Amino acid sequence: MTPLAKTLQRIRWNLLLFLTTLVLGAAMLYFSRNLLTDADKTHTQAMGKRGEVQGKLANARNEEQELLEKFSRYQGIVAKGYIGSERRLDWIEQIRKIKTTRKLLDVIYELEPQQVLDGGNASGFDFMASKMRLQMQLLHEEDLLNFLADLRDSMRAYIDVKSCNVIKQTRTGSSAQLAAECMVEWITLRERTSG
Amino acid sequence: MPQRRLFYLDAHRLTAYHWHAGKLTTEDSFTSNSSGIDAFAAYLALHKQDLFYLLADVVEEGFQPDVIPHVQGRDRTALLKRKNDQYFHGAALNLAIPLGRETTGRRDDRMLFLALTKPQLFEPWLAALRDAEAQLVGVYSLPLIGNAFAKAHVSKNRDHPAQFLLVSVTRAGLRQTYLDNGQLRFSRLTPLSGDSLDEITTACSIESARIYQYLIGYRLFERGSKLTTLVLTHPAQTTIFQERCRDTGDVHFEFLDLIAESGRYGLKTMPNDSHSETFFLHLMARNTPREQFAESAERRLYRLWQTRLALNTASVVIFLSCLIFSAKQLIQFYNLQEDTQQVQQQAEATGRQYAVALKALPQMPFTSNSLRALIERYDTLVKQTPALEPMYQRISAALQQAQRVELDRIDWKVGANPDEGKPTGDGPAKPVAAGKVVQSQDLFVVADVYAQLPVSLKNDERTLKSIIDAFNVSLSKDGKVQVRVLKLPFDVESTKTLRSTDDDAAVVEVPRFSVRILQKL
Repeated sequence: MTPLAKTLQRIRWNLLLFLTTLVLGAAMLYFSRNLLTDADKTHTQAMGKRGEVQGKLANARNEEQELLEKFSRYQGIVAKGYIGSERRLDWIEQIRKIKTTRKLLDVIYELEPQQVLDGGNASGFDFMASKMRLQMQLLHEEDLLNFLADLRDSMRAYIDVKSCNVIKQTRTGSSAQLAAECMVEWITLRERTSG
Repeated sequence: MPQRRLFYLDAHRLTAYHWHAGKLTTEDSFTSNSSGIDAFAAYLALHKQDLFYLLADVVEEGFQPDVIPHVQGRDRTALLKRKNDQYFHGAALNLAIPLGRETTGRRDDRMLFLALTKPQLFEPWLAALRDAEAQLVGVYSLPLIGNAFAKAHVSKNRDHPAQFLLVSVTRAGLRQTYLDNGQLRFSRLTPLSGDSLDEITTACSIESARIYQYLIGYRLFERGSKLTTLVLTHPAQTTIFQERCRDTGDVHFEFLDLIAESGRYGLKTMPNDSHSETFFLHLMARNTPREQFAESAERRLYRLWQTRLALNTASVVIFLSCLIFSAKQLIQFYNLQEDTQQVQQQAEATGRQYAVALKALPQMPFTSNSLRALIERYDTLVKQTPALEPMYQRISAALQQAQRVELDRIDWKVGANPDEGKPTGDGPAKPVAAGKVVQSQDLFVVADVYAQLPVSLKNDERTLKSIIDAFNVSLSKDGKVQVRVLKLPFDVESTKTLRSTDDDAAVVEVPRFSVRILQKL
């Protein structure tokens, strides 16, 4: 047996004790450090949550006023019938009714298929639009303005007039003084369903 | 823990003592013959785990001062070994004590080589120790221990002469140790035939005078100076020493209280007379000097014990450190957990308060954030949806002002870019593309107005121009819109060709013009 081997044999238990305490000590440190790190993380999260809730509570009064006002406006939108499916049949009937009531000369329209107006937003609603090309013979420009006003007042859709061209009529044999061609968007809101 | 056992070896026997916290107990005495050695081996077998110190107090001890080159490492070890072999050939128990460096020249090292020059005196005892696998701390000589004591004594008494003789009485005889500047230079043991106080005091006086001559002879002490001789005596015997050891022209005696010194160094077993071996044994155990005589092989087991002790100490220190640090972290952990619980409870309480506050709000089928987003989007839509009437009213009012302007056409649209769809001729402007999201601050209401003027003014360009200008001014008089001429009935711009008109032409063309009204939303 070499002198080194002899020496190692004589101190083997001490070496083992040393290594054991080293491993044990390291394990204790690792365990306690992990516990502390986890606790620190949880503490930070709890602090963050408390801060968030406290902030919400502090703003609750203002938020209450704001939400009440916004909800009231939402109810207004609901009352106007903007939310839900298009009611094209109602619209056709209503246009006919306005034409009769206002004694309009000629109203020709073409309603295109409905499209999503713009990309998704955080509201949970899609803004849907149906483009209508509208052509009218007018005795006076007020016929057009009244017609559009009646549409806005009576239709269960938001009426967005994108363009309107009014041209003086020069044809003989017609009582119409003006011809109008407008592009109108009929906007409704569709609640987005998850999935 | 191992006990400490001290051996005092003189020319005749080895005495074993047990030392513990200053208390020295004589355990056994072994003669230098085979039966003594056997008894010693048996004694060692009983105390295998203990630490052993050997203090030699023998006549056969050599001292040789020398100067060696200042070298380090293996060269130094080899040089010292060579020197020791040269001076004390065959003496395995040797050592070299550095005495400082020369102040001039190469600044060589001044050394004192020492050796216990009669190996056969030690070999049986060392062999027994080897056989018993005893943990030998070291082999020391009385001058080595006396040197440490004298150094401490000089450092405490600053006015003490640099060169002096320390005289002590032991069982082996009268020990005289010469020190220079706190460094051991020479030591001599004078065996005494008897052990009477009379003989000891006489020897002290005679041998002091004799060693003075020796020191002078070897030029270790300057002739003409008085050699201070410090005698370690029991206080009960000091008077007798003083009577016998009187100052001469060469030697001055001082007496040191052995009991007081023993007490000062913590020896609890006081000597009964002036014999001071127990005092030196105690000093050896208490302040073990670094220098010792034994070869490293003799001390191997002691070094192993030191290694084990270091490992065990390190284990304990590491474990305790980790334990303390972990405990600290655990305390922090529990404190943090407690704090977290409090924070969570506060958050829950605040959450409940918030929930109560929210209950005051109307019940909604979706979240408040969704409601905000919906209303915001709806507001944007409304803002981007202007009515026709204001623009028509503006044009109508301007036409009232400009009686001679007759309206042909109005192209009204909401556009993102005022120049988008700009007519090159009489064509209408294009509306903003459906489905396109635009910022309201970029949107404009654009109305292109096409009109004509009386034919009678056809050749009166200046009048035509003034009517159109006045019409434009009427349109934009409130400053809320911009008006830009798109087309005039004639071309007067420098960039275009200007042609004459035929006044007598059969077909008269009506003068027409167009303007664009822009209103930012």
